[in-house]
Amino acid sequence: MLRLRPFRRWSLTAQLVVGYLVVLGTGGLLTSLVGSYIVSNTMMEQERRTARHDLAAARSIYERQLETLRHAIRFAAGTEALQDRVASRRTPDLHSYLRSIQETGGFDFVGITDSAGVLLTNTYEAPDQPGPFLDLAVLPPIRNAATRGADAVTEVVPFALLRRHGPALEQRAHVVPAPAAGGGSMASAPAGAMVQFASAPVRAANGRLLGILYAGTVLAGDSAIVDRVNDLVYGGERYRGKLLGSVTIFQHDLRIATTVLNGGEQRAFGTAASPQVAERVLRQGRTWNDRAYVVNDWYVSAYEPIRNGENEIVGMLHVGMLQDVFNETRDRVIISFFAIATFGFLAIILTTYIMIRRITNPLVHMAGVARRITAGRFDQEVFTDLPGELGFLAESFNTMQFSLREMHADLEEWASTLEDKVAQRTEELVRMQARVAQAEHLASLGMLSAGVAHEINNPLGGILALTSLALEDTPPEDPRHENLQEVVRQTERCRNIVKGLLEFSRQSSSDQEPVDINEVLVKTLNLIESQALFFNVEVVREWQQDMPPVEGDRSELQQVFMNLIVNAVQSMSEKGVIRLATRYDEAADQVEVSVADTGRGIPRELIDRIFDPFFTTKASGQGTGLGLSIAYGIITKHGGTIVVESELGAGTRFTVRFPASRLVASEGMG
Amino acid sequence: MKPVLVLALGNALAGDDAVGGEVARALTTDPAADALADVVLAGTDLFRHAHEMNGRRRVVIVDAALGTGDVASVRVLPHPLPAAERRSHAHALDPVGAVDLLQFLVPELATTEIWWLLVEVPEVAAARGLSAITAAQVPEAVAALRSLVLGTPRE
Repeated sequence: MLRLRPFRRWSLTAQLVVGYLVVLGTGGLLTSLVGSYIVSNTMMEQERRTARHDLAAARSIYERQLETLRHAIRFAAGTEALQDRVASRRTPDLHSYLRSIQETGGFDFVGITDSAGVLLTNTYEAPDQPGPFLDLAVLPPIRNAATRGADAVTEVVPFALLRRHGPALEQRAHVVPAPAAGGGSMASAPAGAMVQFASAPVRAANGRLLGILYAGTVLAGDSAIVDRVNDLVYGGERYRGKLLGSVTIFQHDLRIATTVLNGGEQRAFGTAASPQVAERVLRQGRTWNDRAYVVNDWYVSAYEPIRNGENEIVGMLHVGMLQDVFNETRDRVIISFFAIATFGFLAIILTTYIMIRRITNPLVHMAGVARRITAGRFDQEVFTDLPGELGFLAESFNTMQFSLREMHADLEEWASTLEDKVAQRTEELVRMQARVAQAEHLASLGMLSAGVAHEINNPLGGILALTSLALEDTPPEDPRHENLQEVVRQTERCRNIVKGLLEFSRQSSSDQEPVDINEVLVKTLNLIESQALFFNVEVVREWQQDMPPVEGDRSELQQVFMNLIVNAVQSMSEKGVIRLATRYDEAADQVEVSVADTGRGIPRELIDRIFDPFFTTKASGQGTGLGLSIAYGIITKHGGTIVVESELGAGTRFTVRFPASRLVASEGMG
Repeated sequence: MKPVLVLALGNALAGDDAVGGEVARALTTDPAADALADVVLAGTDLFRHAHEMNGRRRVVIVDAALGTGDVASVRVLPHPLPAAERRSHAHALDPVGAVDLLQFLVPELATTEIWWLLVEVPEVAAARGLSAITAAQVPEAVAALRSLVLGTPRE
């Protein structure tokens, strides 16, 4: 399995470039290989097609030569001069006439037979020394001339017959099989000579057959026709010292006329065609159109059979072009192809790199911005003037970055205030705990006080009643009268103390009604403000109007505020500022009253005890220590709370809160 | 019978080999020459037209030549041709030999003036139409042929 991990560690640009180039390179290589294969095959097919065309041209020339031969012999056979000579059997004259035809027409031999095909005379044998009887009717063109008329065909003439037309001609035509310079098989020895043979009947004016005129051109050993074809088809062009093309006429598989050289300057007469070609063309009667090894070189070749008048295969016609020419052209094309492909590939690499950089640059920029954001720099933004998806991505990135920046700011703010909030909450918790403890402490004190008060209250009642009766029975001049009066005063004092304890323990009953707190404060101040105690005290009133009433006992509430105000005046040594404030806390649905002074304050260690019964910081005899305890009892009885805040040397503030009432406050008593 | 026979040799499918036919065809547009000469496109077989040669005062054979002179040259030569010209023809068999044979076989032709108008071509290959080089020589060849036909052969 392909391992891609190292690849994945590369930059996006590198991955895209390398990935694209791998795909492109693989495709390009495959395309080049396939392209080279196709180009090579196409060129080879083109070469084969060219060879076929060249072969057709060679065949055309070969056939045309046969045709011209036929026309010439037919024309000659039709002349009166010949007819007269044949009819008269004037052999010397006929021989002379045939020699003239041979010389002017350029034929290798010309002869004439009688109507049965027996040789009358020919251009070689002297008329006065005729040769032995020779039946030329064995040759199909002679045998068939009477019925078929003039014809010209390729025919293999037995050497014995050819010899009668001249030993030199037979010698020239007798091509001996020879080995090729490049090796290969030997051709079979021929039994005759391949000849372009024309025959035409010679008839009298009345149509009687007088004889058969024939003429021929021996193909074997004659290079004229192949050179002519080579000139016409290949222009005699050379390639690296060799003839570019080759033209060969085979008699069976024997090379009897050719332009191909056998190693040196000698033509490759007598060498054999390759067995594969011979098998296909000679035995199967098919054409060969492919590369073939000819003597000592590879040629892109075309072969086709040469047939005689009886349609029997007697030889082959071959044309071919040196394969080196094709190879060089093919190599040049493929090298050019690869050079262009390489150039194109390099151009694509450069273009790809530039394009991918254009695509990835914004991403790289975003990655850099993301890293800086990670490092805490939230003032970064990416370019948004990008096309398409990248532009959308950039906008989304900036939106996300903006949200992140907001969230980070919130987090920072929250973190910065967290400690304060924790401290505040802790302080509140401590305060609440203190209040609870104080409430529990005061509650236990209240229960104790209530028990004591109940137990003392009844005996005190009896003492006071009996003492009052004894005082009524004692005249004022009686020395016991004053004592009894003192007993009564002290007993009443005791009873007031007990009453105070009961107030503190919330055991006393009261009348509940809607009360306007501001009004209660006004009346309380009216009672005490004129006293000497307030002469040097400034009272600041900060009252909220239109507050809801609280439900309670008007006189008890007045007692609470009077107690707090008097304590405040006393804490300032009767000189300073008292700030009385009221407000409605809508959220808590409570009415709040605060009494703040600028007095000496309460030491922290004493604050927890100020609501304890009988606790006082005043000198002995100046207070019972029940004032704040009673106030506390009244407040809690009304469902309210009281909180004290104090700072030594700066002052103290009591904050009282009562639940607001839904009832409407009634006008209080003056 | 017109006194002059123009025989154009050559294969129309063999490129410049067809120059003879092109030259002969051009002559037919000349009324003066047309009045004096019959034009025959003989292909490559002179023997087919031997009877048409008979009785003419002059036979002009127009043919392409290959490898015997300067390319694009136009030559006017009387028959028989010198030995150097005997393989000058672009097609397979030697037409000069054919004329020789015809003159031998038909003695009446011995008195007929036979002229060769040869246009040297660069190559002969399977193609339709003339090469530019050969096509450029056609007017000169036509002028030479016209002169031959009108009785003032140019040598």
